[in-house]
Amino acid sequence: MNSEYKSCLKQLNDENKKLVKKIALYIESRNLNGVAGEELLGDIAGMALECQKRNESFSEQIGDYQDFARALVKNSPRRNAAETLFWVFAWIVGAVGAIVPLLWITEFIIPDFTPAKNNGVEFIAPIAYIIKYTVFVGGAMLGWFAAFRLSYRSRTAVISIYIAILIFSFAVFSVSTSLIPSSPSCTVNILLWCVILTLAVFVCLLAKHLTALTVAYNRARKQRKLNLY
Amino acid sequence: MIFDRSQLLRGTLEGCILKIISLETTYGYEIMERLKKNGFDEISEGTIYPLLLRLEKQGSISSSLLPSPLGPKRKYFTITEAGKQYLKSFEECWGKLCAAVNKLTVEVVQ
Repeated sequence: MNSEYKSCLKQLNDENKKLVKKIALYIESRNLNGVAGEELLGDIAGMALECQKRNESFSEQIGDYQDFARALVKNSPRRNAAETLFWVFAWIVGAVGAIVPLLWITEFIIPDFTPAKNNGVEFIAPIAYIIKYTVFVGGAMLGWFAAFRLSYRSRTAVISIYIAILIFSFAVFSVSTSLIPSSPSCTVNILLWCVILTLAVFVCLLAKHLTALTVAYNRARKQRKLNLY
Repeated sequence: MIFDRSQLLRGTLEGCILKIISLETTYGYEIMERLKKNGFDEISEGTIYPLLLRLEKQGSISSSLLPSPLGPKRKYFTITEAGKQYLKSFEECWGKLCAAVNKLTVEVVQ
C-alpha cells in the first residue's frame, strides 16, 4: 500500500473508509500490476477524501461500488507472468521457510511429538518428514492463492471451505506419509535456515517490485513517445 | 417508451472528456463540473474516472500527480499528440453523424 493511500485512509470517515476498503479488496484480488494497483488505490482514496472535504457523498459519486471497481480494473494493466511468478514464489518460500522453525519450536514445547529432535539451534529430522511438511505447505499456499483469487463476493465462505479441506487433507496426508519407512536424517541450523529463507523472500519481493516498475516505466516511455508525434 | 440516453452517452462521453482536456490540463472533478455546465446533468466522478483510465491506457492523455489545496495529491490530465489525433477523428465522426441524424429527423418533421 502506498503512503498516499494510507494517509488518505486515515482522514476518511467510517462510511467512506469502509467503501474504499471494499473497492480495495476487489482491486487487490484482480492481479493488477503492482505499481498501477497502488496508484489506483491512492487515486480512489484521494477521490473519497476530496468528496468528503467538499461535503459530498462519495457513495453517490461512484454509484454501485462493484461496477465502479470492475470498470477501474478493466482499464488498468495486469500483472505480467514474471511479476506473478515472483509474488507467488515469495509467498511459497516464506511459508515453507517458516515451517521448519515452527516444527523446531513445537519440538521444544512438546518433546517427542514429532520424529525430529532438537540440539540447541540444530534441528535433526528425517528428510521425508521435512519434505512432507514442505510439500504440504507449498500446496496449501497455492490453494490459498486460488481461493483468494476466485472468491470475492463470498470470500468468507470460500476461505472457510478451503481451511476445512486443508485440515482434512493434512490428516489424510499425515496418515499416508506415516506409512513410508524412516529415511535418512538431516541437520538444519535454524538460524542459517531463517537467514537464507528471509533473504530469498526479500529477493523475490524485490524482483516482483522491480518487474512492476519496469512495466510502469515502459508504459510511461511509450506515452512520452506518443506525445512527441 | 423512453429512449435510453446511456447508450448514446457511452459513445460520446470519451470524446467530450478529451475535448475538455485539450483546452487545458485539468482533473476529474473539474471535468465533471464542465460537463454538467454543458448539459451533461447525470454525470458523476465515478463515471468519468474509468474513462480517464481508458484514455490514459490508450495513450490519448497523460497524467501527473500534483499538490492540491484540498489536501491529497491530485491527478491532472493532459492531452497527448495521439490524443489530439483521436479527438480530431472523433469530431469528424460526430460532425457527420450529427448532420445525418439532423437531416433525417428534419426530413421526417417536414
